[in-house]
Amino acid sequence: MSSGGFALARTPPGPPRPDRAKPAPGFSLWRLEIRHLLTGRAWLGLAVILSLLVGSTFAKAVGIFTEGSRAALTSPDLAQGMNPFDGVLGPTFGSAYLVATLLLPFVAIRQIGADRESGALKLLLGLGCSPLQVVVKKFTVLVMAWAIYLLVPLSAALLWSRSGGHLVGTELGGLLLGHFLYGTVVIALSLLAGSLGRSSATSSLLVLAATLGSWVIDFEGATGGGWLSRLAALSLTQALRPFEQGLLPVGHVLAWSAFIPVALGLAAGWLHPGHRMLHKVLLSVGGVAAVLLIFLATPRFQRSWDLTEDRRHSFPSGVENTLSRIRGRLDIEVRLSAEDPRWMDLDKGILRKLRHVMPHVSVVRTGDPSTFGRYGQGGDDHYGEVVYRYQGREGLSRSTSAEEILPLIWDLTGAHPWAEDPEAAYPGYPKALDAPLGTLWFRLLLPLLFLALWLQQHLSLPKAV
Amino acid sequence: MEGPLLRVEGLLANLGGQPILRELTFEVREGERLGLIGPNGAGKTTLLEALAGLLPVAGGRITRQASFFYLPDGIMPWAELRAGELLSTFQSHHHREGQERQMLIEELDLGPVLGKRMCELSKGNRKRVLLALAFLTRAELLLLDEPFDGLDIHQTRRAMNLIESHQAAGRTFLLSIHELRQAEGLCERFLLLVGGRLVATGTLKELREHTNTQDGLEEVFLAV
Repeated sequence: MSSGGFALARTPPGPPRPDRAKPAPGFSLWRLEIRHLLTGRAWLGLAVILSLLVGSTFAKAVGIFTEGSRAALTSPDLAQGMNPFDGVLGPTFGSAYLVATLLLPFVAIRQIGADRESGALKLLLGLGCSPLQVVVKKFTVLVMAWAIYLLVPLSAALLWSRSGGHLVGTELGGLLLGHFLYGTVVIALSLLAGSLGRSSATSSLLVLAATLGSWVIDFEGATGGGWLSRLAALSLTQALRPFEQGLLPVGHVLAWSAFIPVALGLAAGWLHPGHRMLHKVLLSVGGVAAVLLIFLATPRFQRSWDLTEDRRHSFPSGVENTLSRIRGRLDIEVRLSAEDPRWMDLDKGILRKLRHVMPHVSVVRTGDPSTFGRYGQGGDDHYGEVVYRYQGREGLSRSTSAEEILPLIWDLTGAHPWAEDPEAAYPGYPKALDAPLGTLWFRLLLPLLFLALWLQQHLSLPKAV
Repeated sequence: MEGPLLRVEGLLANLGGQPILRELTFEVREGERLGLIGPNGAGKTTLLEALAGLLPVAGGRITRQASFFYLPDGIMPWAELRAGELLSTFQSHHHREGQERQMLIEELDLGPVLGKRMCELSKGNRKRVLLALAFLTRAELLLLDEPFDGLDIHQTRRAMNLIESHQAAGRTFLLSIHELRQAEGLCERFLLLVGGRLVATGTLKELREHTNTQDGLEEVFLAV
């Protein structure tokens, strides 16, 4: 190339000039986060274990359902008890619960702990990312991974459906949503633990303590009364239970959804090495107060949707319509101890249905073992009574049956149930399969698929090399 | 730009209840190569972390007038990812041209290690990759902790040349260097830190006058 008779030599460019421009948010750091997850062995280990566990549980659940179905296929009465949601889907997705509880926290902790221990966190903060951005990126990537993990039990449901098994979309959708929400809460908590602990080992101990603590609170809440049962509502297990029962509880979804940003905010606060301890402690006090407020507000949202085909959590539609129109507050005092089978019948039966449909209902159990004895053996005549109060009026019953309690509620509230056509009884869906389902898929193909994806990520070279 | 890029006044920092930095006051001027020297445990790394906002300070004021990037020593970030991938990520994040990345690869002789994972690299190779990451940022002020630790003599020379060329292009450097001969060969001004206190600042000539010595930085250091 020439110009004006002089040959211009092509000179190499000098070093780029620095400037004060902040890097625009782009996909590069997201990609880094995804690669950081996918190149780790923890992700692969979890995927393979989930596949094997789901495969094993699914095969066992289908086997037991098949055995029950053989007898039920000859008897319509027995067939009514054959519900695939309880018999096949619930146990199969139970594997996802185990994995989310016992393995997912370690994948999440690795994602944040490795960055802190390796010095990557300091570089990320130096790149202009705020701690909250770092945490949110990790959370988003982990939630996407959890959504992919849930495809494993979902594939079991699809296999069941393809082989002629009965599948209800709302039941499956509710179960999926519950497990997704549960995993999301576990990820948020694990990221918080990952920020709190100075090492991954400490963070893992924190998560294990939270898990075990949840189980203990749950157990104590189920057997004890008073504040313990209220505390049990905060246990992690409670985040999933209603969904496993076929409910879509508004309060649960709202509470746990509100809990997640609080946990992420706390994680970001603790993650920054430049924040003073006092700042972190004050932030934590604020976070704990926010969580308590969230869970105190939860009982205001008692409404839930019954997603089950057999409508086990619901009264007939006419009764539900009438109950939902009762505007006053119905107070129920149950004088039974928590261990009394009558309390369990009442709570899991009519009380749950009332909570599910009535806008204003309050249940207080006053059957303290110290007053009545564990099963009312103290001889107090009032033990076993259930008192219903509505706008100054009061009714008393010892029954746990809707046939006796509903008329009492109609008397108290002056409501009259709508006349309705009798609803069709749940027929049941027995299904006997001759061969085990999904053995090859869950025990060989799916683990190989995950291994191939990991190898592809692990061995891939940068484009420019 | 008017005034220094970074001004530190009365900086105090504690670790585990013990004072680590005591009333430090100094400034980093635009376009200079400022060396931070001192014996082990003097607080050099602590000072850099405090300047980068990665350590809570107990008192004093840090005024930053420039964009900055801090490269810590002894780190192994994203161990499972390959060196080339990290360079591409930083290049893309800072909207750098491929040519700029390629130039750094050549100047630091990184070609043979681009396909290796960070955990597979030797200390020196990892240090050179990390230096390239720092140079790919757009920061006006680079805080580099022990930038030549683990590098052989040739690699050190290349890295020094790179720092000089980037300084000429408008960058400012605050370099913590424990090898005094390297510091003397590269830096124009020095901060001498002993026991968390700034005992001397200035050019080599000013430090000589301060300590009544006539030789190099080592003698100044020993005299202090």
